[in-house]
Amino acid sequence: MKNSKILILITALVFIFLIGPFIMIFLTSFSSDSIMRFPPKGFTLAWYTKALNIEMFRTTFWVSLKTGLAATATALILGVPVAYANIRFNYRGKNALELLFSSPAIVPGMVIGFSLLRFFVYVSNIPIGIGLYLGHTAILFPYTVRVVSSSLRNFEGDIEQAAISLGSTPLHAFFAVVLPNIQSGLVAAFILAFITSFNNVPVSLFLTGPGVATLPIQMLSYMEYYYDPTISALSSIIIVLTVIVVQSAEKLLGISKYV
Amino acid sequence: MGKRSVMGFIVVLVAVLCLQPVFAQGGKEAAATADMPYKGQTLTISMWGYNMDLLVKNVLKPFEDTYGVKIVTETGNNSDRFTKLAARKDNPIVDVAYFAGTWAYEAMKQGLIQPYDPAKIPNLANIIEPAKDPLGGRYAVGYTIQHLGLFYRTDKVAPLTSWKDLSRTELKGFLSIPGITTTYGPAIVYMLSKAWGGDFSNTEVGWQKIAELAPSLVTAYNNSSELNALVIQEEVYAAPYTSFSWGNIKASGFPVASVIPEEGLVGSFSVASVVKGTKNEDLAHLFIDHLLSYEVQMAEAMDLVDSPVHTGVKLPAEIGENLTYGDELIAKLHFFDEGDTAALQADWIARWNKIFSK
Amino acid sequence: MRLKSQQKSLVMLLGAGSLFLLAFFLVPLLFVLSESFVGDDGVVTAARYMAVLVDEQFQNVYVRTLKMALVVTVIAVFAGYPTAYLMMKLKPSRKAMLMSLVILPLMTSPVARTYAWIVILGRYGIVNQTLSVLGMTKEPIRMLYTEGAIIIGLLQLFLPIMVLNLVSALENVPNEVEEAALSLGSNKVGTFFRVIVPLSFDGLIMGVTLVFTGCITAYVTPAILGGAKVLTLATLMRQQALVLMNWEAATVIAVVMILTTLVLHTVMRRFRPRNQV
Repeated sequence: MKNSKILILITALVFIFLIGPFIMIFLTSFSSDSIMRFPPKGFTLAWYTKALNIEMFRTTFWVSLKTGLAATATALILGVPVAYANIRFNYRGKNALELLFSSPAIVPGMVIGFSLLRFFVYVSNIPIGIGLYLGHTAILFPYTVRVVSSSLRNFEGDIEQAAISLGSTPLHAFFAVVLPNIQSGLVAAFILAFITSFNNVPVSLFLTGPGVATLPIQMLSYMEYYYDPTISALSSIIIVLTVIVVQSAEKLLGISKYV
Repeated sequence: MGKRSVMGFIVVLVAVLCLQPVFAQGGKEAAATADMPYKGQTLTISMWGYNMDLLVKNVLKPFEDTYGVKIVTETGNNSDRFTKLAARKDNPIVDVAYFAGTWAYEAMKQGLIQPYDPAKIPNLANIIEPAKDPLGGRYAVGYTIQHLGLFYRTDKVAPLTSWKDLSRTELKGFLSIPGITTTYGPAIVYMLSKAWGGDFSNTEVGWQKIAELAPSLVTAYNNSSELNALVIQEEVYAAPYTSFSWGNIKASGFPVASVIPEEGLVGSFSVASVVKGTKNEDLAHLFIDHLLSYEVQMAEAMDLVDSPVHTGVKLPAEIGENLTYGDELIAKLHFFDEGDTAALQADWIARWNKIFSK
Repeated sequence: MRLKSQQKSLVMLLGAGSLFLLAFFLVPLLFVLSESFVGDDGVVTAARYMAVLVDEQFQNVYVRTLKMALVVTVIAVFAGYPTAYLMMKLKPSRKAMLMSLVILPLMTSPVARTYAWIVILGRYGIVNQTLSVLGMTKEPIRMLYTEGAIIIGLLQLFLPIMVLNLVSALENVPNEVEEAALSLGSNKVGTFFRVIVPLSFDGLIMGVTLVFTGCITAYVTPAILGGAKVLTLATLMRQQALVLMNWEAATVIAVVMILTTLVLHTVMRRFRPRNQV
């Protein structure tokens, strides 16, 4: 069946709209003009050199990476059993618990960030890095639970039941049968949660502190004072990395199913 | 690369990165010595992130080297840093905080900063009089002076000579002013009042002018980069600007000129304060004294980072013209009482929002 | 006996996660939320809510936020349906490629994403340059710091969510249904509205809900593209909290945001034919 032209036109416009800005920012990052405007003039890699030479960007990149990985791992370890329970069991108060587990995605990030800042100060002396990690873990929870749930839903419990009836303990069946079968879901959850953490602004805004800042916060802070293609260059690097991760995740796992 | 190897890779990566801090803890703390009594200690400073590389070179690194201490910084704008300081009030981790005057005043009111001990800051003797105690009660030291300037595009508009000129029709759609929540927001209301026949205690006429100007503004800008972007994109032909962003505005390459209007300009200090409850009180004082020293003030001025308050700093003309420097300019600056401004803040923001939410 | 063991495993499965969220999310949040019900004199009161709700500026901003969310949602539906429909018809490999492009705006740092629009919508950005080359405008049009700029920024962020939901809903519509409708003499447009839309209604409702509520709470986009002149609920909340240090008023705004979101979720759920979780 042939698709009508108007359909193709709308779709093309949608994609230009969605992707165009990223191409734009990529183009201006090579402009030798210190002013960002269109069309870009000349060609230089100077903005990339500058961005990579700013020490604060390098140190905050590592903070973001470490926080993201640790928080994602924790959110998965805590989230997988929750998702499993919600798919396999019916119990009283399930709706309430489901609301609890999805609420970090509903409450505005700024409120979460501020509440946690107050709380961490109240219980005193929680190091800033740890507070940041705990806060990120909390906001990643809904993502891991949701993604793992949807992948569990697709995995029929029959094999697991069979394993149990063949004498395997439920715990053993979980590790031997369930986990391997939802591998794609786990990796997808990991990638999505990590990206969410890596890009987070509102929660990090409050939970960063002396000596501990994340990359997006540092970028925003830089943008308060400077308006030059350094941010374009840095953004381009991040965008390219994101494209690589997303493309390979889509190829291997069909990650868009889980978003 | 299969799914399994992706998983394996992720697991190894997480493990390595999570364990890394454990290994990094091995460093030994250096012990204090007779000539370096603070050696091995850590001083935490809350400051703006602007020109960080130059601040490290001119201010932080020399201090670390001289006293053998380690400096940790928290960077961000006034409001973000203030919020964190207030939230950690009972258990502060910051020792010295930089703020704009209004925010320092608020910090003083909420008991977040403590009075300094002048005996521990000998360099106070070498700085200009109004910088020594801008808040009263010795809560803060002005370590640099700034002003709100006024610039225009010489190729687009006729020279501005008065704050009244902001209402000229040729500026309609090409004007921006600082938002009321910024350091110099209230100053605009004061200056417009003064220009149009009111004064600092009677700002009704100023507010009337703000309401008239509102539709002709591109936007009210929230930070200097926003103004910079507006200038570069030729969205703005004239605007009041914060003196430290003058270099960036000139770098836009357009013909711009700064003027001293007949009603004068607005001056202010960036201040440094000792945080209340700090465990490093002596070191905090030592740092503030360092900040006021001739060497630091000179180096900061020569790199066009901060205008000096040190009376001994003499600058070449080509440097001085880019800073808040020189008797002629300083004589034209108004300094407002932070207490008065702070008392009006909530009302003024509400009033401003009402005008702009239409 | 069976029940007891199930209870035991439930506690084991749910225990750690629940405790974590309780300690590091719910308790801190409730503590801050409860403060909005306490007056300066320490007495329980709804006065803070009244003060915010009767404020003319708050009402303006609230209406504006809802209006922009509505516009974004409507455009997202009309742009999302054809896109999702076409993607459905593609070869799996092509579809996967487009899918990874669709989700890119969701995956990219909000700072980088929004920053790009400053360059595009500026006075000398590509849009104005194109318009003037085509001779359609004499003077560059002001686009930054308008409601339009925020709507564009939000649309780029949330259109993908609409497309994703529609794609997954359309995947459940059997091909034969469409073919049958066509062979029964219905034309393409008629088939689309009478057969495809009702069968993918679930995904549509889900998409509408997520896009609309996302628009209400989005912060970075309106902050950068709207500036100080065009406030939304989220940027107004930040102003109250971080500039005025009025955390109670900010919390009230947050509660209004959360309630609006919850009400929307509940209302939209009624429209969904199959009640999925």
